[in-house]
Amino acid sequence: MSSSVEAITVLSSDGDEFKITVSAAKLSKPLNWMLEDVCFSDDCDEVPTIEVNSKTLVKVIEYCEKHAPRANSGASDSDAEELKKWDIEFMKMDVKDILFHILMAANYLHMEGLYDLACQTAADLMKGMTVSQIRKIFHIKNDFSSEEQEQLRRQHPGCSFD
Amino acid sequence: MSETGSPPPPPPTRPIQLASAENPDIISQLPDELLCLIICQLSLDESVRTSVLSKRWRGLWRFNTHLEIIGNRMILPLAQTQNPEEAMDPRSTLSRAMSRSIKRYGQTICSIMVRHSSDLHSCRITHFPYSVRSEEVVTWFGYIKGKNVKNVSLECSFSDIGTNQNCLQQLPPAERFSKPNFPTGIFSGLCSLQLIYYTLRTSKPFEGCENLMKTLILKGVNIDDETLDGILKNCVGLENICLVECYGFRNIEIHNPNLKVLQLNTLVLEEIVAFAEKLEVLLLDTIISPNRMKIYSLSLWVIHCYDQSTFGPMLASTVGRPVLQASHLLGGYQRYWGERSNFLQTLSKISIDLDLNDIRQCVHLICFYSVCTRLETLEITLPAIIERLNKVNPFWENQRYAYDCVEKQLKFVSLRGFKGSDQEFQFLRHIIRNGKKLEKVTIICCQGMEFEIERVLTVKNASPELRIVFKFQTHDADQELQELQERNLLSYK
Repeated sequence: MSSSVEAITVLSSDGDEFKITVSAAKLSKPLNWMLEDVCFSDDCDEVPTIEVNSKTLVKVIEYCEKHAPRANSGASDSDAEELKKWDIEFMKMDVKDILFHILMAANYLHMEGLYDLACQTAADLMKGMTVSQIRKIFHIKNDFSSEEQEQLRRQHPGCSFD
Repeated sequence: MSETGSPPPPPPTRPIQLASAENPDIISQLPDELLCLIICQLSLDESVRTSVLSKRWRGLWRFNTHLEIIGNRMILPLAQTQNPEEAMDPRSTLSRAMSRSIKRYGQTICSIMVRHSSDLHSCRITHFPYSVRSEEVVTWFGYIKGKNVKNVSLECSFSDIGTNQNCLQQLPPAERFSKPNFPTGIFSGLCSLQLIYYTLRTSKPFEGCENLMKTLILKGVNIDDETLDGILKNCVGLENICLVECYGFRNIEIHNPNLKVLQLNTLVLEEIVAFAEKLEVLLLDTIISPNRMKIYSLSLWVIHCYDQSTFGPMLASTVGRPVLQASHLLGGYQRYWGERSNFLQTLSKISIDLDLNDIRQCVHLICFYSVCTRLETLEITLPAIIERLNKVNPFWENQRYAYDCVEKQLKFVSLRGFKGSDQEFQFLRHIIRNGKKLEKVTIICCQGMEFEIERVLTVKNASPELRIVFKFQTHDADQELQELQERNLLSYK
């Protein structure tokens, strides 16, 4: 592969072009393989497509660019703390709109850090919530009959189903 | 970049296109593995509760690879966790109801364990003393061991909710100390184990842990010398040892060629002996000064030494001996570290509590770094509250020349709790003026110190690469004290 380029261009599933630096792309295993296999140089016109929609890809790239410096070199503890705070801010996003797209994208791009972060964020939204609150947050439709609900309740003592 | 040829890229699976306009319930369209990972992060009661969200979610929790079973949450119904006062009163109806459910708690957990149907990676159980008394803990452990669990944390609460008393206290000592009666070798097969608020009087449960167990965390554990010694002798594969607020013993003696991280918090000790050639990181926080300390390692590169815990002075006055100060440990290294120790040759980072306004502590610091040959990172945390400032003493001013350590080695310096006193400023000036290799100086202080910041920024720097970074704390001194209590290296995840 050529390591001369600093940034590569990728296409989103919507067909939009995005630039991502090589060091940031390395956070994703499939992208890293692509880097090693495909010739990326200035006169190369091959543009790989990433099956992630534009809106999500923007966020994923933002995450990669932020995390790349730390992933590529050991940084100090205080930087780690700062990054954590950044992560929390980064994850303040609309559930319905984008959180799960990010989760899927992180899964697809094998990005463990982002994946854990998105799972954690989704779980945090459920913590301390009642069943009906969770249904409301995630727009889940209750398709149980009341008998079925009662049966579930009996099967799980010690767990409040309110 | 790999010369051996890259692994063949697997055909990237096309992500499922999540529809959003017509069906807003996106989460239910995620594949099972992803949903499981999400609910794995919840405590068991919450994770089970997702079963009633809709049919899509029914029974998903049974494939959790992590179980987080929290007694408090299982016994207090969700609606009542908001009202802990009523629960605190043993005569209240709520309290009595909780006493009854404590007695059923053991069965509740067993019935859940039976329903759970996959292997476990990790499990965390918090429970009440009642479960220790009735030996339920051992039964649960049998269940989770059957699921090939690798990482376990067991925590016993101080008292039984509802009665607000610890039912173990009523037992005669012989019985109290023998519970829970962990059978011989029960912890074998585990990679990591955390025990909180237990009593250990035999090391037999740890038989068979020789190779596999890598991490052992004991918090608030009442353990005697013989048992601790037995455990440490037996578990030679341990890479991480963490003892926090444990009591009942006086000496720690470790002979372990695999140990990498040793963390000791809030302990009263006569002697610390560690022969661990691979020991890399040592953390000592609020240790009531051992009379003898011998640490031998060929790889030690970080020392953390803290003494600012609010609990420290209380403990020290009970025992009648002072808390080991970071400056003493470093300055008196010859006394503390033993003759065979050569850690100075490998040490590259120290993180310490130090009051720069105290000249004696500064002298110790200088004594220490004057002999370090590889020190690159120096992190100092100043006391959260400085009671009185000493008279201005041109101590750092009088350091006519800087030691090699400052001039040729130090790359990163961090000063937490900078208050802008003259002494602190002089120290920074000394470092910035002389440090030719300095890359970054981080100063963590309160807001509203423009004058002091300006003063630091005007110092002429010896290193062309230097960045001086100011970070502002938004919390007050009390919260800072609180934060300083929790400087952990090892925590159970």
